[in-house]
Amino acid sequence: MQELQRVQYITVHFRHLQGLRILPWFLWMIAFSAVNPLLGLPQGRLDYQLVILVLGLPAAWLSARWIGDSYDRRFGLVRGLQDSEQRLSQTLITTAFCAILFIAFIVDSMARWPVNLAALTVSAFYLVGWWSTGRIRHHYLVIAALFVVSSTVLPLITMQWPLVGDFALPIVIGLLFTIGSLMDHLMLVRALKPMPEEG
Amino acid sequence: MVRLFEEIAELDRLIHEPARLAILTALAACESADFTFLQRLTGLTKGNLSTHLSKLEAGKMVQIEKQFIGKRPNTLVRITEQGRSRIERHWQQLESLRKDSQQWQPEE
Repeated sequence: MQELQRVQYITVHFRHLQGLRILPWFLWMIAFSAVNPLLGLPQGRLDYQLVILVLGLPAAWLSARWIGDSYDRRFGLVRGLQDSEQRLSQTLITTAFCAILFIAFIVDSMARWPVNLAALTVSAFYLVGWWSTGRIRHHYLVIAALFVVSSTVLPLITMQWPLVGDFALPIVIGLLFTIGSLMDHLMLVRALKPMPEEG
Repeated sequence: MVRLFEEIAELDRLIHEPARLAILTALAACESADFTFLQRLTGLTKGNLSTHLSKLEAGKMVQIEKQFIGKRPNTLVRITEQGRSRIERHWQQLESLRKDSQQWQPEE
């Protein structure tokens, strides 16, 4: 019975478990945020960030495309059962999350709260993700907890080192998203069987 | 107890074979899936999977469509409405069997 549960779960969540598809975008996000502090440049210095923006975006897009093709060749294709109503509600939820996150970023930049609202918002996103995907992806709980910890640590960093604090959040978000997508991919690879050797 | 065995005998043999049950469980959970995915999911060899799919197609449980994605051949499989209702009925039978086996009383 557990075998059939595996079959059903992997089929339903096949596309979402292909975590490497979105990895190039997270790496681009980390590079964009980290380039100035790594080079010891002040915030507002745009030349290197502009290079990463101009060269990095197409590189991320091409890499994501190549990874997607690799997934299709190696693991196959599944077309989900979602009807248009489910797709609409998913789009609305994602849009609402992005809007709340944007507002949280603005509030964080305007007021120096003791907790970082954007990190808390992302933590809530991972909790909802864990719940809505069958409460099986326990790595989402770990990442949610790390975001909660970040939400209290980041304001302390910002208080001590204001310049570092401004860069830290996008880097933390990029890193934890990267870990989440790698764990999704690992879950998929472990759940699928190797290609049998043809006799 | 005799009734229990009668219920077991009524199970759909086309569906109940473990590999075909896994294939149909996957297909019932999606709109369509291709041959590579079914192979990676079940661990069956190409020949084995082809045989099972042919039996399911002959039983009108699945539809098989051969297409090209770019220059690569691709075999797409989807469950039919008949297949969907038969697997649903099969699960209900298995569920009923499970309950009946837990409620068994010795015959007087």
